[in-house]
Amino acid sequence: MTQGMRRPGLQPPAIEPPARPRVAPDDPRFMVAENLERPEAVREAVAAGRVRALNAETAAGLLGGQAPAGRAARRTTPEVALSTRVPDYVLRQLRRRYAESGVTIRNQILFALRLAGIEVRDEDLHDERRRGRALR
Amino acid sequence: MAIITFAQVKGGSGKTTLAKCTVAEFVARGGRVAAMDLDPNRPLGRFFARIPELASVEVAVPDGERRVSGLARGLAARHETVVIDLMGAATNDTQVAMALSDLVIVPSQMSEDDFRGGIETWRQIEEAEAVARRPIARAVLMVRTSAGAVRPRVEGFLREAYERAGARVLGASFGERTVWKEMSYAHWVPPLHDRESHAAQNFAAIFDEMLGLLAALPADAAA
Repeated sequence: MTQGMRRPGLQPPAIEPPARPRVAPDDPRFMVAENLERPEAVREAVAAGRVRALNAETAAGLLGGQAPAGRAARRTTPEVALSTRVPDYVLRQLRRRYAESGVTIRNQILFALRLAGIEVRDEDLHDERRRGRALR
Repeated sequence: MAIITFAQVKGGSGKTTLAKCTVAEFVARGGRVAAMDLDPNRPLGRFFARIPELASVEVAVPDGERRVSGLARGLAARHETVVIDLMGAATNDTQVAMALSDLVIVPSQMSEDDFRGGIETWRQIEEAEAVARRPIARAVLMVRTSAGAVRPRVEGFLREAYERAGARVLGASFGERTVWKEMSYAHWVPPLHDRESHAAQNFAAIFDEMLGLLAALPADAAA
């Protein structure tokens, strides 16, 4: 028997990174992230309590009294009335968020639709009846 | 390959140290990695600039012109992996980064504040997953634990508490070691410079678990 040889230390097995393609520039996640960066989305997140602090570097358009450029753009598409029935607890939550954040029920619904993939243009997210109180 | 985010709405939990180590481990293993620093103190770029092996790592920083989503899109097109370090608060960046991620790691020390922050962060990942409509791998990582063989009672207690709340906890934990605090001063990064050390092997075990979580994602989830 060989004397003086030390038992080798234990080596963890090499695990190669999984072979995945890079995230393509047109991956849907980037569109989702862009939507979450929009001022309306941040206001909604503040109202919902998900956001409690703003990073001044990435939320610059939300800080101060000046509306960001383009905010004043008027919608060019006519609006039509939509009436539907929802559970009362849903309406209560929408009203509570409106009271807390000033984001109208109309805009809360439009924003949720946009996150669900329905086209809602920026200029149509300006509710001329009421401007949000929060973060203005 | 993947976008990995370190998130915890409570500050001081070890996100930045883990982001530094993750980038170093990728570099040590020959991976092409970039980082995005969403901590206004900018610790990542400053640290990487001092370490020759990391000096060429691209670190993106958002500003009024460049949004997080656009920066991430660019980094992901040029690199296999992007590591995102968030500010220690529930900010407007938190859900954006989560919605971009394939994997979110939630570091948690053993205080009640860390636990509460960890659970809140976990809930935010669940919401981000619902919004993004694709799976986001995630795990809590216990940090600043005893580096010795004996696991303190509170660590086991918290592991159970997280699991009861529905949050998965990595088996490996990030041990409290002086070498992590000295990295910036000594320019000595165990995953790069002393891979046989206990510290480096500790982090390699964490890293391998992270890769395992990514590998378990459906094949089209990170495409």
